This record gives sequence, C-alpha cells and structure tokens, in this order.
Amino acid sequence: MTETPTTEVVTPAPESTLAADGTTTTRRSRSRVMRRLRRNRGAMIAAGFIALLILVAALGGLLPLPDPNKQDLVNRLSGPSGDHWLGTDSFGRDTLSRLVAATRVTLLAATEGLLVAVVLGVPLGLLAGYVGGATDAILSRIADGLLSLPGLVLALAIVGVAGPGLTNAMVAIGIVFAPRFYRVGRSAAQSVSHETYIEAVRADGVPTSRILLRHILPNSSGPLLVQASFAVGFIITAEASLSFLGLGVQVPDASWGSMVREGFAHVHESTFAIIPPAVMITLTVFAFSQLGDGLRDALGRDSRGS
Amino acid sequence: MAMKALPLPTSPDGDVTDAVLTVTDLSVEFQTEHGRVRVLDGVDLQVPSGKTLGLVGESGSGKTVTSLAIMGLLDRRVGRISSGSIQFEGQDLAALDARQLRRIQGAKISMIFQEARRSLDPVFTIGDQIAESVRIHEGLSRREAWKRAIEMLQLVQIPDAERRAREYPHTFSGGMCQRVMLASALASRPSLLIADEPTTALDVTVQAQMLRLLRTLQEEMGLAILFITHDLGVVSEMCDRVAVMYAGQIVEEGDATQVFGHPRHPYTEGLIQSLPESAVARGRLAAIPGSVPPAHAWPQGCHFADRCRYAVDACRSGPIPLLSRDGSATRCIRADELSLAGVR
Amino acid sequence: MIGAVGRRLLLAIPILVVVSLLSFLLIDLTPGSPAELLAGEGATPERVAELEQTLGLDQPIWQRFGDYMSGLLQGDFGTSLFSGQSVGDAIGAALPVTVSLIVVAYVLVFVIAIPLGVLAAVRRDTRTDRAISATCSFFLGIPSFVVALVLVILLALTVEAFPATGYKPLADGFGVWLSHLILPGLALALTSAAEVTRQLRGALVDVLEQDYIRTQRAKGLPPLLILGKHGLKNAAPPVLTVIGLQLARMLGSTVIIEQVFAMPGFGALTLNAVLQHDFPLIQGCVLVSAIAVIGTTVVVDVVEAGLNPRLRSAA
Repeated sequence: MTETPTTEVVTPAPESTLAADGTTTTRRSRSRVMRRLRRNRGAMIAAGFIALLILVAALGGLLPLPDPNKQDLVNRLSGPSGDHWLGTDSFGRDTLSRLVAATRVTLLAATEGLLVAVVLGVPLGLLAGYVGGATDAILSRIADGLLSLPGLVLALAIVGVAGPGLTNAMVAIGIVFAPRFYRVGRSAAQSVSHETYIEAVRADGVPTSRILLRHILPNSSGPLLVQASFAVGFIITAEASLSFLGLGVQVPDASWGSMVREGFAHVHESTFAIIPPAVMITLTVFAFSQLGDGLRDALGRDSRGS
Repeated sequence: MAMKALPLPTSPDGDVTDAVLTVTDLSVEFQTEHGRVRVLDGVDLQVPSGKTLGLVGESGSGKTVTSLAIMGLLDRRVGRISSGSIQFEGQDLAALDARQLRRIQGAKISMIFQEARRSLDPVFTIGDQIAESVRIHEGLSRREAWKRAIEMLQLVQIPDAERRAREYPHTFSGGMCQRVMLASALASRPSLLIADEPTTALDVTVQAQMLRLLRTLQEEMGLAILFITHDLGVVSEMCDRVAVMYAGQIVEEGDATQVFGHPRHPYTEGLIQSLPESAVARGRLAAIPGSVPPAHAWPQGCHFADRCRYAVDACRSGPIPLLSRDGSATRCIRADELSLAGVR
Repeated sequence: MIGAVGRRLLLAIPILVVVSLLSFLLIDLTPGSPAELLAGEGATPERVAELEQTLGLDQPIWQRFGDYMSGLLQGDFGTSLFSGQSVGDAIGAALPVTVSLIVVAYVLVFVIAIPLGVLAAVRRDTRTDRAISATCSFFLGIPSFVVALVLVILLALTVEAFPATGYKPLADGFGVWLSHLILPGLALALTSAAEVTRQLRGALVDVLEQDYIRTQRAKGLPPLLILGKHGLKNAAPPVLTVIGLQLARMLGSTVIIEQVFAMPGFGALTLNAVLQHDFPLIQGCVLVSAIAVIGTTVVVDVVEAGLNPRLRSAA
C-alpha cells in the first residue's frame, strides 16, 4: 500500500514540549489521523452530510416552510406537489416541514442517548480498568449481563417499566449502549494504568478521579470517538425503532421513526409518506457508520504505524 | 532488464538426457508497485535423475520463486512465467494448464517446505492429510489410502505410526512435522522432490537425522531431489551437483565438490567464506558486504558487480553470459584470471 | 469434549444470575411506584394498594427476590397481570412463530453469506470483491425495519408475490408456512447476511494465505476441495462467533418485524407486555431472550472447540 502524496494543505502538527503525560504523541498523531480521514472520500461525504443535518436541525425553524402541525384534511396523503414538495401525511400536514422538525427531534434524541451511554459507561469503565479487582469483576459481570440481552428487548423492557416517551426511550437506549462504552473505557484504562507517567502522577498523590479524567481519558479519545460514531448510528436506529413502535416520541411531535409509523398505518392508501423519513434514517445511519469506519481506519493505521 | 540467457550449457559427457528435470531460460515476472519486474532472469537448471541438485543463494536471490515456478504454484495474481521451458518426463510444465499440472503436483513432483508445522493443516489429522493426496492421485479407497498413510509414516520412521496417524499436527515436534510432510510428499512415489529449506528451521541434531533419512529414501526410491538452501554445509553433505543463484540468475553451476573446492564466481567464494568454519579458520567474518538488491534495481551488467571486490568496468558494460567449461559453468567474465578460494 | 461443554455452561451461570437479578430489579428501578403506573391516573389509593399486593411490592425486597429466584428455578416465571395466563405458557405459545422466523432467517443468512463471502475471498481485491463489500456496507447501514417496509411495499403490496402479513403454522403445510415467512425472514436476514459475508471474507482471506493452503496446492488437490475442506474448516471459528451473535440482533429485530408483518410471536408478546406494563411478562421475556442468547454462545463455543483440535484435546 503506497500512500499517494496529497496536494491539500494540511495544518502542521502543533509543536509541543509536553511529554510527561503523553499529550505530545496524542496531539501529533491527531493531526495525522485528521489527514488520513480527510483523504477518505466516503468518510468526508458522510461528515458533510452530518454537518448539513446539524445545520437543518439548528436552523430548520427559520426556513420558509408551513407549520409542521398545521392540518389540512382535504389534502391528506397527497404526493409531491408545488405546494408540498414531499407531499402530505394522513392529517394533511406538510411532510417536508415535519421532516425538518423531526431532524431536530431525532438528533437531539440521539445526543441524549449518546450522553447517557457515555456518562454511564465511560467513567465506570475507566474506574474498573484502573482499579481492577472486585470492582472490575462486579461491573464487568453487569456489563456482560446487559450485553447478553438483545438491545431492543432491553430498551423495551426499560421503557415498559418507566413508561413511554422520548426521554425515557433515550435513557433506555443509553443504558443499552453504556456497556460498549464501559468496555472501551476499561480497556483504555487497563492499557495505560501501568505506564510510567501514570505511575508518576499517582506517586505525586493525585486523586484517582483526577488521574482518570485528566490523564487516562484523553488517551482513550480515539477509540471512544470511533465507538461514539458507530453508536450514534445505532442509537438513531433504536430511536426510530422505538418511535415506530409508538414508545418513543409522542404525538403531535415527530421523529423520523414516528413519521414512518404514521405512514405505515396508512400504507394501504398511500406508500409515499413512508419514503422520505425512511430515506433520512437510512442515509443518516449509513453516514455515521461510514464516518465510524473512516475514523477506525485512520486511527487503526496510526496505532499500527507507531 | 533486456537480457537474454544463453542456451543450456551442455556437459561434455553429454548426459543431458539423463536429467529428470530440465529448466531452460526460465524467466518470471511479478506485478509490483514498480510495474512489471523480472524476478527470474533466464534460469537454466538440470536435476539428474536419482541425484541431488543443490540450489543455493541468499534470501531474495530467487530460489523459492524458481521452485514455485517449477511446481506451478506461483500466485497467478502477481507472478507469471514470461519465457522458458520446464521439461519434465517429456512434458513442458510451463505450457500446461492448471488441471494438467494438478496430475503432476504431489504425484510426480512433490514439495516440502521450510516451516513444516505451518505447512500442515492444523484441523485435520496427519493421516487424513497424507491419505487425501493418494486418494486424489491414485483413486484409492478410504481404507487403502489410510493404509498407505501409515506405511508412509513408518517409512519416514515415525514411531507408533498407527496411533500417530490419528493425531493432529500440534502434537508433533518440528522435526516430526517435517517427516510427516516428507511422508505426504512421497506417498505417491514421485520421481522428483523439491525441498525448499527443509531443515533450516530444525536444530542441528534433528537436521542431521532428517538429511540422513532423505538420503536413505532417495536411494530406496531412486528419487531426484532439488534441494534449496542457503546453507553450504548442508549442500556439501547432500548434493551431487550445485547451482548458485544470485539476483534472479544462476551464477555458477557444477559438480558439488568442484564448485566448493574451486569456485569460479566471486559470489560463490563469498558464500564459502561466510561459512562459520572458514570464518574461524581465517580469524575474521568474511561475509559479503551489503545484501541482494531488489529485483527492480538490478544493474544492466553483472548483477553482483556492486558487491564484488574483483569488479572492473567491463563487468558493468552489459549482460554477462553463463559460460560453460568442463561440465561446469560460471557467469563471471574474469573467472579464468581470478584464483578464488574454495573450501580447504 | 464433555469437559468443554461443562466448562462453558459453568461460565454462563454467573451471567444468567446477573441477568435474572437485573430483570428482577427492573421493577424496583422504576421511577415512582409501579403500582401507580399500572393503576393509571386518577386511580383510588385502594386500587393502588391492591395492585401493590398483587405485585408483592408490600413485601421486603430480599423476600421478593427469594420468591422470584425459587420460582425461576422451578421454571415458574410468574403470572401475567392481564391475561392471568402463566408467563411460561404465554411465551411458549408465542415462541413457535419467532423460532420459525429465526430459522428461516438463519437459512437465508447461510444461503446468501456463504457463497458471497467465499466469492469475495477467492476474488479478493478484484471488482467482484469490492462490489460485494460495498453491498455489505450498504445493508449494514440500513435499519432492518426499513428493509422490512421496503420488502412489504415492493414484494407484498405492489407485486403481491408474497402475503404481506400473518403467520400460518407448519401444520398448515410447508409451502404455506414458508410463504408467510420469506419476507419477514429476509428482512431479518439481510443485515446479518451482510455481517457474516464480511466476516467470512476476512477469515477466508487470512486462511488462504497460510502455508498449509500452499501445501494442499502442492499436493495437486483441486481448488474447490482446498477451499471447501481446508479453507472453510479453518476459517469457520470467527465466522461461527459472528453467526451466533446474530441471534441477539435478530431477537431484538423480531419486535419490529413481527409488528410490520402482524405476526403473533415473541416480539409481539414483548411489545404488548411493555405497552400494558405487564411486569411479570416483561421480566419473563427479558429472561427468555437472555437464555436464548447465552445458550447460543455456549453452543457456538462448543462447536468451535470441536473444530479446533487444540481446544478439543485440552478439554
């Protein structure tokens, strides 16, 4: 495999004299990773698409679109037209407006789920990997137990006891994905906990929580980023699934999954209403998995190269 | 790279017809990042029937490519024979298709490799692996093939063959694995065995036993052997004739004692001087400086010139032919004026 | 061999215990009172107290856990709060549908993934390989319920090649049974098939570069025999692991697929239990899916040990 010389301008790695805690290598390799990632066309298209989504989610309300909740029962389930570019749903609401509104709901929900997963998984994983022993054994058994359950069944069960609703659904999904982040955090902590610089700060009497967050967490940022990128794709799928089942977002709000649900309820009258949200889900999930692949390749080659 | 090899050097006593394998002007090209690169450059070889030809040279000289080309085992996606013929029992192996080659592979020409343990499939018993080949080539029944497998294991002196045939490769030592490979290779009574560094990975005692076994079986079966190694000590013990290879070419060929006693190519002299015994005798390590250049960087003239202490301008001016005299051949234009040191 | 099975079963026990503990704790982790949630808004305090008693929530947690575990050990998963049916019976009635669905899906996974994975490995780094790999990425990116909807719309509603909904038991005839399972089975299988194809290609590419494959070529064995016998048997273990992991994915997806195709299976049962806050039934469904997944892991491990002579002789 020869690396083709690149013509693009790459910002040079920031010179750093910090060596004691490993930040130098992290920073230098970060720019190398970015360079590789930028050369990966699939990953860059995916990143561009995701950026566009975020823009739509943030500024969607400013677009000159009809009110997403305005009903027009005369024009229900109409196909694409000049007035309604993506047609209308069973209440005659404009599909494009609802799709834009749903983008915001979906992305916020995904963020929520990811945060729950990361906040639950990573610190516990770092702790387990760093201290080992009984703490590690107990936490790891719980993670194994959670991982041995089909994700959707576990999420359903949690929503089942907590009650339907988008927040509950996202907490449930976060719990489902927490073990994956637990594992990443644990292996990162295990691999560096015996490095000399960690031993050094420990000898200085730095408290464990500070060692974990300031010294070990930055070193696991690469694998965590890869895991997060993949997880967002899965979380969006899971949110769509729960909302499709009616357990996630509740009327009159819309996420892509609930739009598919509404469309599917009237599938015998018109199949078109399903298509726009289904396409959005597919493209978005695909974009996050492409970005994850790109990140993994960029980081993977880095760890092999050094 | 526009180099044409000379026709086969015919030995004065004219016993060419006695060769079981005759390789003529064999060239192989690989598709690499540097484009098409010639990695074998007009190789001529003869393996006398029932005798052993040693093929020696450093790693990267093309020994293994030669053996794979003869066996028809070159990876078709990267390498192909670009010219030359491989005459074996009246057929040109270079011109056969894959199906025709399979009737010869493992039946009339067999091969054993350096890493015997890695060359055995870990998930099948060794008995299965030996029987498999005779069932394919001789159409034996399962029971007959198994019986043959056990006979072969006994022939290569594996104790308790009937029990061991049911065991898996990981229960065998490296030396025992090589015996199993040999049993498998010889199961269909081939007339030629290609042994690619068969003893290199073994320790000295086991190596000696293996060589003894090879010689015994060679006599019993009238087997011709193409013995590939970088170890001159092994060559002098095993081989009747020897061909020295450097950077894709044969640089010297002849009777083994003749070549070692009176080398006629500076590279052969260098190899001999790199032997531990000679190094001790001379009180210094007389290894040749540098290493074999990669195939895309071979020089126009003598491939060895850049590492040769006798090189003169004429050596670099153009392709050097393989010149034969008195049943031996050398690819050195200064062979007659130099007096090179052999094994004392 | 028997030792290996025993050791794997022993390793599975702690995970099972953790899972039963987690499923037991589901009720107690509920924010607020499960009984109030069940009784609905505006229920009388008497009704709530009655429900608490039914759920056993008026007893201390350790006693409830003891009752729960001893029930489980006797195969008693409790009683549904709504149908009054035993949880075991309810699950038992739904399982044939889902088992049929998953069996069909697994067959489809094998039928799709093995030829494609082998083809990609044999033609590695060619256009064929890249096309297969791109197709796999595509299907790995699509949520299975989108696949299900596309299949329903295209093949059931538009072309009417297959029935769109429902389930017919095997007793109605193999053809009828299968025709109702093809579409949901395919929807369930495609993602897994993509995953298995990718894994098989990778494993086989590694194996085909091994020295012992060169030996088989030197023995003059036909390429198909080398590939089918030596290649696949050596490449099998990592692929089997991935095939086993697909069960958890499929079990989760059946909730959606059975909804789309209106099939009265385990997924639909789980969903109804959730919609009705039927706690004992939810717990039962969680446990049964965990047992299925852990059981599959054990089976896969044992099969892998059987394929690997090193592990087999160590057992």
